[in-house]
This record gives sequence, C-alpha cells and structure tokens, in this order.
Amino acid sequence: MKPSFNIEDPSLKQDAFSKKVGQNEELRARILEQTTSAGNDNTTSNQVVWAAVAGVAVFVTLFGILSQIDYSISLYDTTLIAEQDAEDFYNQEIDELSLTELSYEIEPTHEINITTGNLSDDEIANYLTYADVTTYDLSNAYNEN
Amino acid sequence: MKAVSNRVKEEAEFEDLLDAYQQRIFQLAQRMVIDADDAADITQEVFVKVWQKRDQFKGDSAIFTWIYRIATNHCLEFLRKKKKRGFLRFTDYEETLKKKLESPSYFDGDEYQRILHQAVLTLPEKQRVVFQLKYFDELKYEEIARITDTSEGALKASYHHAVKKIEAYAKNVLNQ
Repeated sequence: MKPSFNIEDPSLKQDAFSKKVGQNEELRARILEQTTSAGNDNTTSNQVVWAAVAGVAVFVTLFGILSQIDYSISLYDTTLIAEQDAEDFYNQEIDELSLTELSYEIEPTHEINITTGNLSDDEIANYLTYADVTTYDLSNAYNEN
Repeated sequence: MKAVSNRVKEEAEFEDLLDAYQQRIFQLAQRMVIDADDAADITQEVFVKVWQKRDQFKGDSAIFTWIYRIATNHCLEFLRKKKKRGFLRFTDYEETLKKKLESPSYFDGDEYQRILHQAVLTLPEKQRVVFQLKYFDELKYEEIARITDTSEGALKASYHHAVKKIEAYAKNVLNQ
C-alpha cells in the first residue's frame, strides 16, 4: 500500500480494467460488420421492403378486380331472378338452355342459364324462332306455356 | 466505378479511424459504465453512428472531437436508461457499479486505482465526463469545451470541484 492517495500520481491513470483475450479484435470485427457492410445490408433490406410493398399492391389490385367482377355478376343474377319469378322458375324439372347458345345478340356478360321447365325442345325452338331474343321477356315466355 | 472507388476510400478512412480511436472510446466507455460488454456495445454504437453520419461531419472541428462528443452522449444516455429500468429505480445504480469494481472480473487495478474509480462514480454524470476527459484522456479544456458545449471557465471550475471531491472521498475511505 502506498503511503497516501495522490491524484497526481501518473500510475492512477493507467487502464485498470480487466481484459478479455481478443477483445479489441472482436469489437473491431463487430463494428466493421455493422458499418462497411451496412450499405449492402441496407440495399438488401430495401429490396425486401419494396418486394413486400409490390406484393401487397398486386394482391390488393387483384382482389379489387375480382371483387368488382363478382359484384357485377351477382348484381345481374339478382336482377334477372327478380324479374322472372325465380321461385317457380327453379322448381321446374330442369332442362337447361343457354340463351347465348341460341342467339349472339345477347351480350356475353348477360349469359345466364335458365330453366325451361317442362317445355320441349321444339316448343323452345318455336319461341326463339319468332321472338326477338334481345328483348325477349322470359317471364312472358314462361307464362305463355 | 467512381462510386465504388469512393466507397473503398471511405472504408479505408473509416478503418484508420478505428485504429486511432476504437481503443480510446472503449476505455472512456468502460470508465463510465464499468462493464466491458456494455462498453463494447457503446463503442460499437458510436462507430456505427460515425459511419452512418460520415456525410454530415463538418470539417470545421477535429474529427476526434466529433467522435468523443458522440461517445459521451451515448455513455450518458446509457446510464440514464439503466437508471430508469425496473428495479434499478429503487437502488443506486452507481452503488451497483462501485460493487462491480470490487470484482476481479471487472477490475484488476490496485487499491488506489479502485478508490479513484469508485470516487469518480460519486460525481454527477456530466462532471464525471469532464473529469474523465481531462484526467484520463488528457484533453485540453478547449477540446472538452467543444465536446461538451460548455465554456472553458465552467469546465475548469467543474474539474477543480471534481478533484476536491475525489480527494475527500479517498481520504474518507482510507481513514476508515
């Protein structure tokens, strides 16, 4: 033990903390890994972020388009069914007939399968021969039979 | 091609900075927070920040002043966070650090060095920084003034008071 505490003693200024072997080298490596490679890391991070954003944008767009299509179809279906007294319509024995197969005058987007109940093929052909299919009133056609 | 060569040049300059200051910053941090792992984390944060902000460095002050400024701010921020955390609010964090100085896994200096470092821990944080920079790093008041944004007169007074407190602490401990 020294005789007294003297703050001016230069030995007091020496580094007195415990050291681990390879401490400085390890720290230097850590720093360099975080810094000089930082640019690359950032580029990678940015790419990941932009890819994620693009993915979400594509998904949202597709979802929007599909929802719109689905909405249009369901809206049209509902309108037709309402006009045609759908309850009776669907209770018939079914022979399905696609109007678009019989007339190209009807817009493809209006394609819908209707039941023809107990009408024979000949009766249907007869109606379609004399009727203007583009303005054809299905409920009338059904009621007439 | 030019961008690549600039990058290579910047990295070489940064490695020169590490050669010159990594050890000094680590020692400053270790004197402030005692724990070598914490000091290493702080040193890493300091140099990562130096690298990230290298474009903002204004050449009107010496780069070591700038690095020291970042380092002292990080040390003070680290201590503030430690004191705010959980159960440590109910204990004196400086007492915890003083106890670490009793352990050979943290400190292997002689008895007087231990007393000195324990005494430094009794100083207010900013005064501790001033004492560290003046006493251990032997910086000029002018340099410390730039690092701490404090007038030289205030620094001289602060250092003088710090020395008196440390001597009183040592005298008290040694007389027990």
